[in-house]
Amino acid sequence: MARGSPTDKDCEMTVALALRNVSKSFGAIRIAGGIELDIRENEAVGILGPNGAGKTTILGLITGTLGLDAGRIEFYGRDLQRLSTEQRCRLGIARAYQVPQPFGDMTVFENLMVGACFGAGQTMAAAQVRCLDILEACGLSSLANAHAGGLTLLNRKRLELARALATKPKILLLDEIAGGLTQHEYDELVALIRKANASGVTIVWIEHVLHALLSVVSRALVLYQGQFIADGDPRDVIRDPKVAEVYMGIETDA
Amino acid sequence: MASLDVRRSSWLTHLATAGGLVLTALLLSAALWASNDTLRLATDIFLYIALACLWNFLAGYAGLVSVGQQAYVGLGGYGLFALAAKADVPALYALPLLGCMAALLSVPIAKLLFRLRGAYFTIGSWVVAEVFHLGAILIVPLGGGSGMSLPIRAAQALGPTPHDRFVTTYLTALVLLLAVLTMIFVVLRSRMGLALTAIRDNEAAARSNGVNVDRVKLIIYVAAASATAMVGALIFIQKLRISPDAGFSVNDWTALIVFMVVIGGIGTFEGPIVGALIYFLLGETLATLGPVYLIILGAVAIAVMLIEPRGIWGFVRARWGLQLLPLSFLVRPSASKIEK
Repeated sequence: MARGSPTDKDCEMTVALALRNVSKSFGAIRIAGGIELDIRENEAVGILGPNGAGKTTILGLITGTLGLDAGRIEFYGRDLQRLSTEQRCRLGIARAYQVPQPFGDMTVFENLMVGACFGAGQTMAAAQVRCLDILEACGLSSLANAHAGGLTLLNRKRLELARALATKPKILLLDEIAGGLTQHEYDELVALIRKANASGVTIVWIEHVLHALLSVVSRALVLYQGQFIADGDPRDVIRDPKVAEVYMGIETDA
Repeated sequence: MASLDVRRSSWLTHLATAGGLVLTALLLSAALWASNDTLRLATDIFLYIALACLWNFLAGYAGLVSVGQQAYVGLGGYGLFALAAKADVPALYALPLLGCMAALLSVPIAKLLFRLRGAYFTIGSWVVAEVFHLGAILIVPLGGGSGMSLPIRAAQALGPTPHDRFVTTYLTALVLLLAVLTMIFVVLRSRMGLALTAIRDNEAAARSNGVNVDRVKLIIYVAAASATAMVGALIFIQKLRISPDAGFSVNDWTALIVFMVVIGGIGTFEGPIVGALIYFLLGETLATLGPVYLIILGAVAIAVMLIEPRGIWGFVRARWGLQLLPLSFLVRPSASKIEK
């Protein structure tokens, strides 16, 4: 598997997340066939691939909501195999789902409190102070007392991202943040993601909206039939003939 | 932009707390002036409210929809009768002891039941309760299938006259109810309450936000089992007689409780209290109707589920945003108005 990325010069940097020979199938459908992947600390990586390629499944394997068939996943050198989803979150692996998963009958602020108290392991008092800052940073102050279940799609996505940040992640796994939003709407979220990355958070981002993705990531991978068929500078990757072949119809307007 | 701060109480929660204290004082004083019939009815109401709140704690918050809590009601009842008849333990001392025993016993049961998810957990909980039921029938020293009465000396230890006994049970039930409500309130207001409410709303999201769901569920299950056993013991002190069918009755200790919680409002602190009071109100006014009464009860439950699945309190809370207890977090501009 080629790992000839432009970030080779940084190879002395810490590897945050490593997938070693990771395999996963659902019946006859192979999602991952011996995947090898190193993601360095503070890197921003985009994962592309046609619908059904198994991009979301990979995130499930990393957070532990799905089990591996074979291989291992390491987070800062630590094997995640025996750790539950909640333990992985407390280690610093946060995930924002494609379809936001708010605590619908709690307020926006209380949603953030859950992330801060349990994901980041803060006391109630410390969590309250920090969550007020996150509210403001994510533009949710005016909705602090609103019930999360009644929010618009944009605000749900904002909350999903804010709650993930409240867990004090080392790595943020993002699943189609921009999907379903207008450019004006997702630009705001992209700015938040870029800010998180600038503050040291590693980003792994699945996205079909290339324009949003390319403004953040410095490396792109293309998943197809259980393998990464391309890995490198995003602008080179999307022009790769191999990628164009499996990925017909992709908008390269970026 | 004005800075924000977080409040948990409001004028309404202060008012509700004051009201609660006045009501508690009034109920305590009832021991001095109420008639035997009133005390007896009030004791029943207290014990049913306690059961409803505990079941709601399990099902409404922790997502553990158990239909086997009668296992712990019967366990408490039988435990109390056994301790009184075989070891001469005074009934009131037996209560905390039974609470501890039920807590210990509930741990292996939880380990077993938690392997089952959703509907399978529910069915499993009922199976466990039936095992307890059948077990009680087989214990000949405790009367086997026909049950046993509380020994007269144990009953007399509660008070020399029937009135004294009613007063003792009434006060014990009131204290137990207050203890149950306080426990639930303290848990809901704590960090664990935040975890529980998150589990209630979205268990998968709670896990992926670092909540140790299994541990929280275990703690809640054990606490509910322990308190349910103590309530069960008091129920049968009041009845003076226990049998396997009465002690482990799924109708009396689960079906009616579910009715109360559902019409009152599942997943809210106040809902089960409202539901239990409505049940007794209907019971006192319609009980003379016989079987028609049960049909009306069923119709009420179906109507509530169709019209307002959140129950009466769920509706009130959503409609007027009422929060009587300082359990939520309210963010508002800070009074100091510091400009950023």
